[in-house]
Amino acid sequence: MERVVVTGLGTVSSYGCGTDRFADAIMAGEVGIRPHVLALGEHETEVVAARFAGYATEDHLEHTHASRWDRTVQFAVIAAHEAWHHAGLDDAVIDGERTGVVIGTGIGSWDTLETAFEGVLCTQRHTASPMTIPKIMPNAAPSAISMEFGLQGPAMAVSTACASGNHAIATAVQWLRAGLVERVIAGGAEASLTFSGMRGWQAMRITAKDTCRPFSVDRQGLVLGEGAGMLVLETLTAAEQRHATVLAEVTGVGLSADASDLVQPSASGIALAMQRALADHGGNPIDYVNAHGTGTLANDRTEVAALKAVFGPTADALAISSTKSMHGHCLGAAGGVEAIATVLAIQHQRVPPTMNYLGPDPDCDLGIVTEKAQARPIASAMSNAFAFGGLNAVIVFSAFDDAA
Amino acid sequence: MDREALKTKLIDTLIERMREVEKVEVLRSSITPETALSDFGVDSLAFIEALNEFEEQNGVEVPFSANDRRSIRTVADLMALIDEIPEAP
Repeated sequence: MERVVVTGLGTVSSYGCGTDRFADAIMAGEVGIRPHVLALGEHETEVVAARFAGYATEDHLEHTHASRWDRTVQFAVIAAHEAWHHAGLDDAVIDGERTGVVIGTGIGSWDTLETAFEGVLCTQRHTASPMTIPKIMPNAAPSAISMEFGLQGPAMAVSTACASGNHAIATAVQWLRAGLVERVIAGGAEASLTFSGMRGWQAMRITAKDTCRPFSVDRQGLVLGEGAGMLVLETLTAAEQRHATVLAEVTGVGLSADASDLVQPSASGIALAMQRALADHGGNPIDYVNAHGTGTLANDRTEVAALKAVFGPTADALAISSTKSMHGHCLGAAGGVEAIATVLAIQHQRVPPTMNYLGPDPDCDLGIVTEKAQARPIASAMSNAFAFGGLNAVIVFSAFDDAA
Repeated sequence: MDREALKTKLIDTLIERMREVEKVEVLRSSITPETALSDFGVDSLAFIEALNEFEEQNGVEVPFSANDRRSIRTVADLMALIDEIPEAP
């Protein structure tokens, strides 16, 4: 079975474009959550969110087709370009037919959807833009990326709400291990901070009015974010052939379904995904867990219960943090953005912190790293993602050891 | 604010929602403060849906978050939420 390695990273987040900027922010404990006003026609709603404020397409994309891409797809393309460049692929001679694309998105292009509805329902226009459908389709991002780089391997979208990014990475790993392709651009993208989208979240009474405080006493709930996280994943053989710099190795993938409730997470379902990822990882130790850690009462205590069930007495030795406290919950992009945070933790040998922490919650009594980044040896790290609908995906990344 | 009238309306909204959405007929006479919401099929999403509808119809805001530590298990728990609505300034 082929070993799978990470050779490129690309990030768009509330901090703007670029993985270096993202790394500086999360290692410094910089919280990207702010109050914003989202408007639609004459309607407005105030939200607290990790939004890429001031984003303008022309600052980042020269492409004439950019107007044919929703904000979600633009984020995906920008992050893919960075990852491609970071992997040293700009001038490399590669086989486009042996390179795939798999991108996760939870909702897809809500901005375009909202604009279309607003135009047709609230104004006198009775025709929508002909670009409405091709912009909304959840596969718009993998399609755009395949065209950008001329990639003719398998390309598709994955949609599992908040676990979409991790399911996309898991799919890419299976393709690579099976020898179907030698390289994949994989990750997640989401930009659904819209007026009607926020109304939907507000109706669930689950969003925090102050900020995101994962695992903390007095946490109020989740805070949404947006962005994209893209990885170039390659077989070790392909990476070595072109003398690429290996950033990390993917050593474990675990997927499961709770098969229980639409919105209440299940500790046993989550534990199954972690156990499967650990088994795939060869039962080797884990040093750091980049938790799903949404900051809701239900997620955080269920995730801690599952970590205890899976790791037993060694759970106390884990360093755990939720970087959502800084970059928000990026929904379909969460798995991609947090995969990048996890690989950065391995590269820097530092655990990015859980910010906004007010004090311990007795239900979350594990080693939560708070306030500031913590230096410690990290050979392997686990990134968790659990979706509404009870669909779970866990990825394990490890420092690359070419003697292994 | 007539809190007793609002409590009656909230129960009406729940009964109405059960009839319309779940096709379940709940007899008003069968409801006591100790009745568990789950006894007439109300789960967390159904409860929040009814609460949102109630707020919309009555122009009030009920201070309840799904992140609340207390569980809203019985009709009495639900009625207590009405007592927590702040008086308009």
